[in-house]
Amino acid sequence: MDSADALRLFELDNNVVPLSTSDEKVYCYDGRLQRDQLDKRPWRTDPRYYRKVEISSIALVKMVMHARSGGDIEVMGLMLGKVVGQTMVVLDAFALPVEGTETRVNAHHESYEYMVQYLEQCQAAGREEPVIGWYHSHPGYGCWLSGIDVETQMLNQKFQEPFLAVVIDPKRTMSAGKVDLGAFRSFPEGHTAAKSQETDSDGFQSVPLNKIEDFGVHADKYYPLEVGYFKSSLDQRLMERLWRKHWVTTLSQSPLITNGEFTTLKMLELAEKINIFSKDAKRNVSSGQIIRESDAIAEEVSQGYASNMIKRRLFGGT
Amino acid sequence: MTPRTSGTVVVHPLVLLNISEHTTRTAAQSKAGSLANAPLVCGALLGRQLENQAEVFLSFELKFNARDGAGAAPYELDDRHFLTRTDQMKQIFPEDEFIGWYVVASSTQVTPAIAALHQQIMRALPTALLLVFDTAFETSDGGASLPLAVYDTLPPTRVERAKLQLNFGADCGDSTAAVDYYVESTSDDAIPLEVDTVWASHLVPLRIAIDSGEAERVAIEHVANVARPTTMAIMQGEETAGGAGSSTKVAEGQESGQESGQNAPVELTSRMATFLSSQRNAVDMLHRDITVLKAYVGEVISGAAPFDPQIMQLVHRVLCNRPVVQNDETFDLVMMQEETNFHMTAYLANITTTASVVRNLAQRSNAALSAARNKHQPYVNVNREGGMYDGGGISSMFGGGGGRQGRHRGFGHFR
Repeated sequence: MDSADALRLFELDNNVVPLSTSDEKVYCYDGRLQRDQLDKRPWRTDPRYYRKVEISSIALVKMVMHARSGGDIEVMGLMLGKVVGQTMVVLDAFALPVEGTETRVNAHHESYEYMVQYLEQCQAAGREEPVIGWYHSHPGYGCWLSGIDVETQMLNQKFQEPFLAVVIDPKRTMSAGKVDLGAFRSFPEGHTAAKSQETDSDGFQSVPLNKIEDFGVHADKYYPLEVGYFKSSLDQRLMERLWRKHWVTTLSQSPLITNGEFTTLKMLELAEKINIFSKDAKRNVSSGQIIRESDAIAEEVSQGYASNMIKRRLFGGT
Repeated sequence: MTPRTSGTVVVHPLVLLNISEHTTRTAAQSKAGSLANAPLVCGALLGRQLENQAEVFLSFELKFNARDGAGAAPYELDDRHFLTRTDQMKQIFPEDEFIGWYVVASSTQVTPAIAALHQQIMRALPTALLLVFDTAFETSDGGASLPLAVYDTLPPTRVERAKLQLNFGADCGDSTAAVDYYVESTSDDAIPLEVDTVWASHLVPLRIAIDSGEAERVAIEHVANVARPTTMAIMQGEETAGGAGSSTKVAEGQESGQESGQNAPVELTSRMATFLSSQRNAVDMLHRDITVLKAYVGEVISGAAPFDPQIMQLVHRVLCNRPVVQNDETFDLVMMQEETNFHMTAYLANITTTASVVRNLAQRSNAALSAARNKHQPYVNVNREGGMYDGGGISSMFGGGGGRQGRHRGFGHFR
């Protein structure tokens, strides 16, 4: 076999890699198009310009795993991506060698150096997307921005637009078996919008009571973005194959058993919140929030019950 | 899988997703014409190697520079890039070592071109694993296993040169099993050999297992069940982009936050539906596997399939396990308790919702009525307990309805 043939083996046949047209659009970075969009600086006129975040499968898995690896310690990293209209697309993420303490995450100098070097290497390897935001973990206390987070975010939005903040709660992710993730952008300094009802309607976060003050004070300085997740057609096919190995766990585990303790905790927390609400309605607890939380708990329990019933019918043997 | 496996390699889904992403990206870029030379999709594998088992946790892209002139090895590993990135990964994941590399091809065979690259990797790590990812997704067992093969590099031995050529020739055929791959060793201190023998490493296929950490599993399940294919996801983004292009629309959106909430694509399926459909898929899988077993046993009985005592014993064991529980009082009791718990939780959630709805209703009708009546005297005396719009249920639910009264006073102040 001569070398010309050998070479051809690496020229990825586009018929072999199944790409839908949208895959191409999403995964291909067009620097000129990006600059065109960014040159307009739409966030200057509309602080809420970006409404939606789309996170790629690989970025999601990387972020969740990194957040989890930190245990009780906050960890942080950066996200790479681009913007498509009013949507921010996160294509990849990488960890930074920084560990924060509770609600205090800040990138230091050595990590800055790391970041620059990392980006260089990425670009050399064909990943052209720039940094589009940062992520960090809130182990156990929900996805929202603390005062320091808001400051960091404001600073970044001032100098590095478009910039996005993503918060992941690895503990809740694990105990609920669902990814607990929030994406936020801060308002520019001095921005005052009618926001009390905003946080009421889309700020669904059950914040622990000991953090609720911090949450409440800064809640009107940022807004949440709708989060979507996407995967490429290759991912999709891979997932189908992986599913062949994973279905057993889906069937064998029960949310009632895996989340039992957590559900009880959430109920207690909710009861406490109702108490606070009935005493003083203005203390950052709204009735809408209470209802959403109680519905979420009920839904989880009924899911567990449904899976019990399915298994009973399957294996009960009567 | 070939029977001559020497060990097991555990591959984490993250690695597979990473490779998939790398492939997709490169393919998209090359199609858009933004790549100068032919894309070479390979990367490094990081993980841990225990005696007979390797575990691959992470991967990152490798950079190969095209070499001028079409020699035997048209690509050269960018050593500096490789070292810097290995070092960077080490800072964050100190436990994971460089243990091999991956390459994306259109089959899981080792081709001479791959072997040539493997030679270069062996200079960095003589025992490097080689993962070949097959984008054609063709596997011998009809699409059940993952489209990849992992090879282990054994220490070099004396091999006839003829053997090197022969075996690469053989992989043009479809025989996936029992093909020997040898890669010529390039170490400088090798003792010179006879003309027709070379030092070469044998590449042996490893058994592949998939394992995932708990966080990884949750994330992967999220990708499998929640993430949408790009077709829908990003096209919607583009539509929004077109819609909000004009400045007037932007201004409109700015005024009303609620409006955007309505326009945003609402999740059509509830979480309950997602959950149930994933359960259904799992049951479907179980059913499919049982059908396979049933077909096999049927064929053995009719003599169409060979009798394998090992398989039959496994089938028997599965059957023995069913029914799992029968007439167990404790089990029934626990089930009953769980059922009660479920009903109680649902009931409680309903009461909470109802209480809040009634509270809202009371508030609104109070406001509406007092506004409609003469403005000097409120229709409902908010300070009197048990008034017309004072639902007893609500006050008990929210501890005496203090919050409600607070709000009412607010209304009075407003007037």
